[in-house]
Amino acid sequence: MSHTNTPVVEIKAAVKHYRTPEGQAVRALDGVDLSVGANEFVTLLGPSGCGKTTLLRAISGFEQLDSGSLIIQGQPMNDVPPYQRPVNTVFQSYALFPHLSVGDNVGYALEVRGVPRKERDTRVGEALEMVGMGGLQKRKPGLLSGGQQQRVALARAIVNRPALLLLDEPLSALDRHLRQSMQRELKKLQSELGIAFVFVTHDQEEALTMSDRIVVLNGGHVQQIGRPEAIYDRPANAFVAGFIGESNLFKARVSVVDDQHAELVSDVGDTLRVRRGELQLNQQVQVLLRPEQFHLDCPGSSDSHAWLEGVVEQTVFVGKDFEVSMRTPQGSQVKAVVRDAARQALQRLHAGETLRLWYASQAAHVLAGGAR
Amino acid sequence: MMRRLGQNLLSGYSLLFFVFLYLPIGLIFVYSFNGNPLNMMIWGGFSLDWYRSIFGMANSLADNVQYIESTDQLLGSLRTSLSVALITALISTVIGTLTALALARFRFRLQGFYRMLLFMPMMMPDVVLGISLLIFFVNIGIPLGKVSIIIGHCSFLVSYVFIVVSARLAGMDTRLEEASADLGANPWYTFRRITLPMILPGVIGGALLSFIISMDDLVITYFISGVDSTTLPVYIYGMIRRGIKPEINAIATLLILASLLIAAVGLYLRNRQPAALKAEDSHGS
Ligand SMILES: Nc1ncnc2c1ncn2[C@@H]1O[C@H](COP(=O)(O)OP(=O)(O)O)[C@@H](O)[C@H]1O
Ligand SMILES: [Mg+2]
Repeated sequence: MSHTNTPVVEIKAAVKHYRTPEGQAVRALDGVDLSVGANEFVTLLGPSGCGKTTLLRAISGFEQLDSGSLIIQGQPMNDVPPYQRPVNTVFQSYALFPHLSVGDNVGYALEVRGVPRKERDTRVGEALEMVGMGGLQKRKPGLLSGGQQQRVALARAIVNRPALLLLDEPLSALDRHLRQSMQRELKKLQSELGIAFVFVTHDQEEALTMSDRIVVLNGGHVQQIGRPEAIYDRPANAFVAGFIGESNLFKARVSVVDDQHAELVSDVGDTLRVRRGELQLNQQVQVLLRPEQFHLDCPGSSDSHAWLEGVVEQTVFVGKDFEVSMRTPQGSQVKAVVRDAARQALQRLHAGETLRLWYASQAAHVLAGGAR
Repeated sequence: MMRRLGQNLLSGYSLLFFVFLYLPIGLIFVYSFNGNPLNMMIWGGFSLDWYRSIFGMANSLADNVQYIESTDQLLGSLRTSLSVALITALISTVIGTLTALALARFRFRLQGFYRMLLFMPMMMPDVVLGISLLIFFVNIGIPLGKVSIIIGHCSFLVSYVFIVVSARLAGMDTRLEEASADLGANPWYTFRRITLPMILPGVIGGALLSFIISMDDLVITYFISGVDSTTLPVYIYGMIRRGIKPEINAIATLLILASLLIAAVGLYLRNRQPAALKAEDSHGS
């Protein structure tokens, strides 16, 4: 990793239970380990209710961990109240103080620390400038649009240069267009400031485009931590494979092995071919094929490639690509994305036609274990 | 045709309703300027004597010893009422606000029970509250007087303030307090700079409400006031037997004006603050 070796945050074996009003225990964090390096952009990704907010609130101090350790900048933080932690948060609902002006909102962290008015005004001006909201100091937050409130909340959180900025789904309330431009701006801001970001989202596209590293969470467990490409290309398990990107997942058993390749038979009887790797005969595994890994014609030597054949059920043109949905004789549904189909190839994509989809056997990713 | 008739009946009814409601008040206002010293219901020409009398200024009644004396009593009871209401409003506002904060911001055992306890005094009949307070004061040895009235009023006005402030707190996003802590403010700073300004309209509303109720209370005060600490309502009630003094019209008029002023201030404060809150809500979540 390109980051310095002292982590800004280090969490070990974090466990947090909630008690519902009915008295049931909910396990929101179940042994989470995480470390965030200086100047790193880490995204917590997972479905709603997987514990992202809980993890963030444990770092900011609004939730106490049941067990596990939390270290920020080398200092144990478990017993430090939120107002003494060198961490600032951008809340999902922005949480701007409605009775204070934009300037006083942004300057709040400085005011609390007794920074003189003049210096405060300069720094507030700079922070607002950074988020493209210069000159709006006098306004009341209630009169701003959602996107503007978002920027003010951001300026308020960075004005005191925290060691770590926590962002809880900050873009989820914005419309698509605004969200994309804010994504770019956030990324730029992060590299300019040199502050580590822990960013929460349930949107996998957002996570893939913005992050240095992604932490995939489900049911309070870390499923996988890694760079976006690694998470996408080599998901650690079926959950990650299914949650990030479109996927064709086959449960299969190794039936034939040679030096380089292994042949597998899926639970319904499709034949698959992958790089041998560590595979043993009769081993139960899962095989992942991403839709964009398929080709209409064999792109290389037929030895290193394999195919699946079936009947086209539906083809949808989505801009440059065709999304093809095919069913094999064994009954598996295969989704493929085919780009720039030539004129005569187009014929083959009509519903009801028999189609052969090629893939490179080393592109197929084998997930450990046949169980889910 | 039928609809027309129905509409006329309805507006006639509404008119009657408002006449019933406001005519007595209007009469009090008019007769507070009545110059007839003997019978206050018979118009005897325009006069400001009753207002002069209240403020201790020379008037045409100055030579009548009996009048002067009882006017002093009347004014004394007004002073008692005002000071009781002021102190009561202050104490019950502080206690009621702190109670509302504690119940809204902390989790502890029997919370629902405490909440219910706080609603009880509002639902209890005044007579019951009055008699039980009387028995309590006598048993514990607190002499009946201003102090007992203040304690008695606070015992149920805390509930009113609690409810008004609680409503305000319920409408406040707890994330605001978290945001403040997140930015480095300790709990006391957060309270001063964020929580208090946000609930201030509720606190002021609660204070005005308890002031007015304390001024106005007859039944409970009747039980727990001593001989030399009569409040205005108790004094007026007593007057019915001795004969009503015309000054009462002038005092009532002044009280109505004061109430209107207080209500106007309350309404103004209520309407001013939520504008910012509403705008905030429409963008959040
Ligand atoms: N205050 C709470 N009381 C009880 N359960 C809670 C509380 N907060 C969160 N939970 C539960 O903990 C789990 C994780 O919640 P959360 O961290 O908010 O998830 P996410 O942010 O990923 O959607 C969920 O099942 C949620 O219902
Ligand atoms: Mg959440």
